[in-house]
Amino acid sequence: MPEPISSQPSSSFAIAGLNFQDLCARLQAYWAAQGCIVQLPYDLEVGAGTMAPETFLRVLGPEPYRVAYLQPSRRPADGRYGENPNRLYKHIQLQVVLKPPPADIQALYLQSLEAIGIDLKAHDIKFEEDNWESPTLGAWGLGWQVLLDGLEITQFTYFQQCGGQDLEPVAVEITYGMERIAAFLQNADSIYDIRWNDRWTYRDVRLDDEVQMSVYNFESADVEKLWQHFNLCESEARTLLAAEYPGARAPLLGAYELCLKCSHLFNLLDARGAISVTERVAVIQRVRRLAVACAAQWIQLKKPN
Amino acid sequence: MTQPFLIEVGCEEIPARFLAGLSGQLLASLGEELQTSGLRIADADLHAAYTPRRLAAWTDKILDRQSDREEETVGPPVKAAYDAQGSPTPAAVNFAKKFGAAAGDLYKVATAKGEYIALRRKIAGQAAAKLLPGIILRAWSRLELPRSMKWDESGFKFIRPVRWLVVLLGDEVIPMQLGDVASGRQTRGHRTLGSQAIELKRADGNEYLRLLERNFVLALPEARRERIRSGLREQTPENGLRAVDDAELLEILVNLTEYPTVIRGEFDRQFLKLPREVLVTVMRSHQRYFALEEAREGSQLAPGFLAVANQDQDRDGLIRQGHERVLRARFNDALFFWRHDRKRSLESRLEDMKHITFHAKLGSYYDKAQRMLRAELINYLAFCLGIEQQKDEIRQAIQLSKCDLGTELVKEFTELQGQIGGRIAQAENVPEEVWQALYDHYLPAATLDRIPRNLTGAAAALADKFDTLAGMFAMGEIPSGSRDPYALRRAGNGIVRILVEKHKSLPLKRALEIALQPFQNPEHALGQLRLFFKERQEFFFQEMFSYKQNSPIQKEEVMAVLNPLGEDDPFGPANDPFDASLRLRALNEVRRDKPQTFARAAEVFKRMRNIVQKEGELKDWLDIKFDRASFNDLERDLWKELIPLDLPEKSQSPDYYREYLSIAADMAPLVEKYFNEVRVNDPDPELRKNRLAFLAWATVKLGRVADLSLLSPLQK
Repeated sequence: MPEPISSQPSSSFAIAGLNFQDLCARLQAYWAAQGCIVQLPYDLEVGAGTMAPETFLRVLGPEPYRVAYLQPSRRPADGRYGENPNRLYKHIQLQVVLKPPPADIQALYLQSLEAIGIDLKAHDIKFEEDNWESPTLGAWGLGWQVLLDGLEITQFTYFQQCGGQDLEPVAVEITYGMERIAAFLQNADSIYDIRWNDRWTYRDVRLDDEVQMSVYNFESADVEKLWQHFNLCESEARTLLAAEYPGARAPLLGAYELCLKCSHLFNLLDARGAISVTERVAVIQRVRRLAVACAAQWIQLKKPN
Repeated sequence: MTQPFLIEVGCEEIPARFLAGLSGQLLASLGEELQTSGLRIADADLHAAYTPRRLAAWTDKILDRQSDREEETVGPPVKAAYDAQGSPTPAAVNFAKKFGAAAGDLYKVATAKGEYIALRRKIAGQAAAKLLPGIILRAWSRLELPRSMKWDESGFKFIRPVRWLVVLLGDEVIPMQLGDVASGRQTRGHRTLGSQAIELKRADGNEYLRLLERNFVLALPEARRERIRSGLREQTPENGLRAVDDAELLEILVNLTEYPTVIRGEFDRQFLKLPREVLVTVMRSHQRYFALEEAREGSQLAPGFLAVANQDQDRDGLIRQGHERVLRARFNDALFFWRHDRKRSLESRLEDMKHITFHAKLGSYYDKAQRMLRAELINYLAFCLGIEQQKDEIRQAIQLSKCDLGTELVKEFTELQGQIGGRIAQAENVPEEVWQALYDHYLPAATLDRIPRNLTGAAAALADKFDTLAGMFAMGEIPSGSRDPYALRRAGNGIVRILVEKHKSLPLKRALEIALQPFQNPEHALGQLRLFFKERQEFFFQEMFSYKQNSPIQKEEVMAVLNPLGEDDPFGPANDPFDASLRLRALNEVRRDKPQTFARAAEVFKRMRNIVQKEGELKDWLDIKFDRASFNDLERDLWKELIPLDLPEKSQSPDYYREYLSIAADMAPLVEKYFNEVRVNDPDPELRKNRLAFLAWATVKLGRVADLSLLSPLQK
């Protein structure tokens, strides 16, 4: 059994042992205490936590919502066969969404860093402008990247629009890069050296995944079949979105999952170098059209009759 | 009575690049609104301070009340105001009553519409306390914001959320709201070092600055700048070591911190193997660190950096450690890419360029390189630049110029394209002339950027830019208004600058004809490019040239030089930018030596040209041969004086043009005498024709270097 970790560390060094899974647990517990639902990661491939319905759809409409969830995020083109100590095909985000944002949200965020043992008085924290825009999701927001001693650990964004819809009220999205924070806390120079728990490392848990998926993403994925998958998913999503269903029975989430698949297939095709610069814009447009239609239908379904 | 006034708008971090501008705007609009409201006191300065989390302004005194004033209000017409007996009607009585006056206070005024009754009213000035919310809201609404946002249900918009508001007049809070945020007297200190509830007793700017400083906020940007500057010095105590000078980075850091502290970090010497450009880009653009270098000519980078933390100190050395770790990771990535990219020769990547699109309609970068490599283009550029013995070097430089586009390093640091290729070529022992040429071939990348250091680089840069312009214009991608997505104007300016600063005559028309050969419909594009290059030169000579030459060039002088008389070639005088620059310098100098002579010449030559042009086009008259046999004495004198005035094939020196212009201007009295004594429009049609033809010839002769008639008298 590992030593229990004190919740009030006496200095930054005392908690240098916070391992990856404890870090995840601490942050989730912190946001649970702020009234967030702690959700499970979405069980489909996504490029970012933003794409999970818990963010993409829940930020729409007037109902207040608070949610936190870990989300493995896949970016096929970022894979490095496990050879680069700082880059991953799949990294883990902690996604926190608060709608509407409380007025002290920045202070709440900084306290979450204290909760994982970072002594704010001993470090250099900067909020540096970083505006976010996703052409695939028809979404944008203004915010910052949060730098901890020069390391980008969080994206902090006030969503203004999502799925082409103006948000009323707006929502704040806080996305923690978990590997980076863990490497910082553990003073590790390579992500693979992060201790996942007190017995196994990140390498033990995830290296095979990075190597094999890099081979698949860059070399083996069958481009022609990927296009077929893409076209199938797209056409099915369109059919679902166009059909008439009574009341709240419309299979909107089904359509949205197909849209997410298209997005991931697009990323795979991109990693395979199968999309030329001119095609790119057109394919992004196709995914965006689905996302925007899903957002519109979600608002329609949620409208009180 | 006066009162001090202070406002502070507390925000979540305002982006560094907008901060100073916003503060300046707020100061200006607040000053104007106070002025308009009659509260501003002329000799009381308005001060400003700002940090990422606040915009503040204050003044020692404003009037605490507007002064009273009188206003005239016009009522009904006199006819309706008094009855036949001259007594006030109910209309008049009611009008007076409405303003709390009696009928006896009314008087008559004459207006354009007839006589009316009027009333003089005293209007009491309002208290500043009552006016300030309106003043502040008006000033705030006048701010020109970049993309802004909402953050709460009030729907109020700003660049980042507003979280607190201090508005003090004397020792009173002025109650008001910005969105959902209500005013008070509490400000906040540094996020992690200061108190988040600091009471301000009164509107005292100095007290405000003192209290904030005690809470680790240097609210004045100059205080933060000074703290960074002295930190940079203190952290490099070694002899012969200094921070790479970087004013732009300094300003970013001033606007990114509330309490900046300079921290020195080190990195492993092995990373110095990386090209300097990569090291500096990572430190400067990605991490916002100052690089360290040896303080002497040709200085090498040192394995260290200076970071600016938003903290008072680095008690446990943790901040240094953290920044060092981040930099190490970034450098490791770069080193990985560098080693990876070095596994193949640069030349072997030429084939890869077939897969990188330059422009959908213009093909790949491979296609572009092939167009640039055409013998005709290289021969012409080498000839004009006087480096015909270096054609092989030019060819090699162009061949390699686009090869770095497929490297991992350029994918990671796109801003270093060209430079990376140059460094790889250097490491592959490519001759210096060649690697420097491809390193420089994107230059100049901005108006004041440097130009290629050697002539092979100039040739590669010209080939690249001529090809881009020819291709884009042939495809109809012509810049218009603010639309110039391919930065074609920059390419055009670059060509002009390289030729002028390298002192090389290169007729643009021929170069463009060659560059247009691979494309369809070259005639149309050539016509557009002619206008384009004339505009580019107008721009360059007025803005850039006067900046570099450090003497004011007037627009008139540029126009005179770019529109001399008697040019048949449609590209005309804008065909050779270097030659135009020589004529311009000569004109600028000689005109300042003899302002009166030139003022008189302008007047006389204008008259001369008008006489000819009244009778037809100047160039038509030039086609008519005049007969010297029918000259009178005056005509013969003038002709004799003008004959030696001739242009050499290629001047290459402003001295010749200076002399030409000086002689031409000196001719004005003689020409004037001619007008006064010779009747051009002689009744004899043959004589008249002869005189006009002669005059046309003389006009052109005098205006060949510059059309002097376009110049107005020089103001002392």
